[in-house]
Amino acid sequence: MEEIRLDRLSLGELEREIEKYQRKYGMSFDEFMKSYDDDEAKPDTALDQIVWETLEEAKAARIRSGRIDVKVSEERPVVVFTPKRVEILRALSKKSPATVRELAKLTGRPEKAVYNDVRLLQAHGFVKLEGGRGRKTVSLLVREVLIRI
Amino acid sequence: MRLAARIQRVDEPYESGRISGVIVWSDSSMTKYRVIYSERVKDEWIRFDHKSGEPSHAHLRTRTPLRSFEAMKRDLEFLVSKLQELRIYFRR
Repeated sequence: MEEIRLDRLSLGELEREIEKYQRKYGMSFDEFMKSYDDDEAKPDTALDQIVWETLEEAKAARIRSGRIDVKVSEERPVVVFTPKRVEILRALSKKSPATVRELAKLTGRPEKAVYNDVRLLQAHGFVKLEGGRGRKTVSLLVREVLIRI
Repeated sequence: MRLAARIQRVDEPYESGRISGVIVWSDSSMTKYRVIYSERVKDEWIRFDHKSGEPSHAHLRTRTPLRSFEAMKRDLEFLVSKLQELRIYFRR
C-alpha cells in the first residue's frame, strides 16, 4: 500500500508531485479536466484524476494558509532571511506580483542581485518566479514567517 | 494547526480482476475515495466514488458489452462490501 503524507510535504515537494502528472499527461490539471470523461475514464486515469485533484487542492490550501515549512539542514545551514531578502519579501507584500526590475527599483539594488535572492527565496517556497527572459514576475506565496526553534 | 492529510493507494488482485483505489484522509476522517473493480482482460470496470458531503455514486462503463444486469448488481454489492472492509482495515 502506497501513501502520500500531504501534511509532511513542503510546497515545493507538493509542486514536484503535481509536475509528475503534468509530465505524464503533457498538460495542466485544468486542461486535463476539460478532456476528462468521468464515465469513460479508464481505471488508471480515474485514479490519477483523484490523486492529482487532491494534490492541487492541497497546494491551493497551503498557499491560502500562507504557511510554508522550510527545512533547514543542520549540516549545511542556509541563511535565508538576510535583511536584503526580507526587504524583497516586504516589497512583495505591498505589490505582488512584481517584476524583478520593479523589485530592484523598490529596493534600490542591482537587478542581478535581486534575481539571485528571488531564486533562493523560490527554492525555499516563499515566492514563485514566472516568465521568460526580459520580464520575470515574482509572486509572494506567504503572508507570515514563523521561526520555530 | 495543519490537518494530518494523506492519500492512500491500494491495488490488490481479486478473483479474475483487481481492486484498486485511492482514499483521502483528513485526520481520522475519510474525506473521499474512489475504488475500482476492473477486469482488464475483458476491459470492463465498475467504479465507486465518494466525497464527504456529497452522495456516493457508482460508475459502470457504458460502452462495454457487460455481463447481465444481475451480475453487475452482484459486482456492485461486492464492491460496497469490499469497501467497507477497506474502511475497517484503514481505521486500525
